[in-house]
Amino acid sequence: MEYAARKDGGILNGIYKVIMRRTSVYATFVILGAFAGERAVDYGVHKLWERNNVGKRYEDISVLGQRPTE
Amino acid sequence: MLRVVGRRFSSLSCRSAQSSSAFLSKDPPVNDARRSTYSSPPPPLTTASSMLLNQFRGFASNSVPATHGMGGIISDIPPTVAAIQNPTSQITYDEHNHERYPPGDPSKKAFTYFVLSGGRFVYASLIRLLILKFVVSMSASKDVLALASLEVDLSSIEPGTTVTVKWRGKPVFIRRRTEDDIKLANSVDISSLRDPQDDSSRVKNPEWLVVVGVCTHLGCIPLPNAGDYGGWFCPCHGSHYDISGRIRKGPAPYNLEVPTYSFLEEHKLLVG
Repeated sequence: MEYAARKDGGILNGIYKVIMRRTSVYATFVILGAFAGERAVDYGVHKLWERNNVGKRYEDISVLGQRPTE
Repeated sequence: MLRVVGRRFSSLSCRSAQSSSAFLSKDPPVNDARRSTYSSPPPPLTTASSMLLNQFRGFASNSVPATHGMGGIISDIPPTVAAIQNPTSQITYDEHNHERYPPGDPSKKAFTYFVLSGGRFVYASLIRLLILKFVVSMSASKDVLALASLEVDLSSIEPGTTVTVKWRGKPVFIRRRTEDDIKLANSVDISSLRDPQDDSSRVKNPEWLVVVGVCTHLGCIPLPNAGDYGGWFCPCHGSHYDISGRIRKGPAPYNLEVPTYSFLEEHKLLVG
């Protein structure tokens, strides 16, 4: 049974032994994971948004910074 | 998990020594005929035997084949009693929506925990977001921030005059000082002052003095070009400020406050 466990979920069991032995370590892992996941999702959604709105942003206005000539 | 149950099983029942060892060995999956006979756990009883039965809840020993094995005598032993009396390693569970792994499979504990961890990431982000949104909503809003700084055009101010502008709801005195004023401000003995401050530490350009027009005593607005020192005079309780805005006479404890300001370009002053 032990041998099978090591063979099957080897990676998961290894990480499990490192992270989930102590609640303090696990809580740190959750906070760090939440932060990293937030950054990753933010970056991905931003990229997607930029790709769908090429040429429509404020920075894309070509006459930006030129005062209207009266 | 299965082994823990098996250990409990063996400690509770004196007859289950051989069955629990069989339990640990690799058994073939339970056949369908047994599964169809009795597939749900026994209902909890209210008698004293229910305490014992609760230990066995979740796995039923098959009573009907056991009674048939007693020589075909039709006995009316209740199924629960028969289940207690005939512990077996061929345990059948209700699998209609929760299929069992084959016996001897390793547990998926780590996988389950990592799935839960993913959910906890989301919860942690959500809580952080809600707290931040709520706390930030109590901070200064855009309309307040837009009034935080003030641009003043200095080109129309004559030397020796004081201009009062409104900044953050308070008056700010901007005085264009003459050479005599600057000399007078620098001739004061610093150690004799109540709030010792050098004139050069209060101004960026000696020609321009910028101070908040609120008396440091009780918050009145001092009058410009008045008092014994040619600077400001507070009419409320008679505090005299000199040409550098320093307290010289009266009850006020400190000099007039100098706001943060900067000279943008020629004749442009940014207060705040």
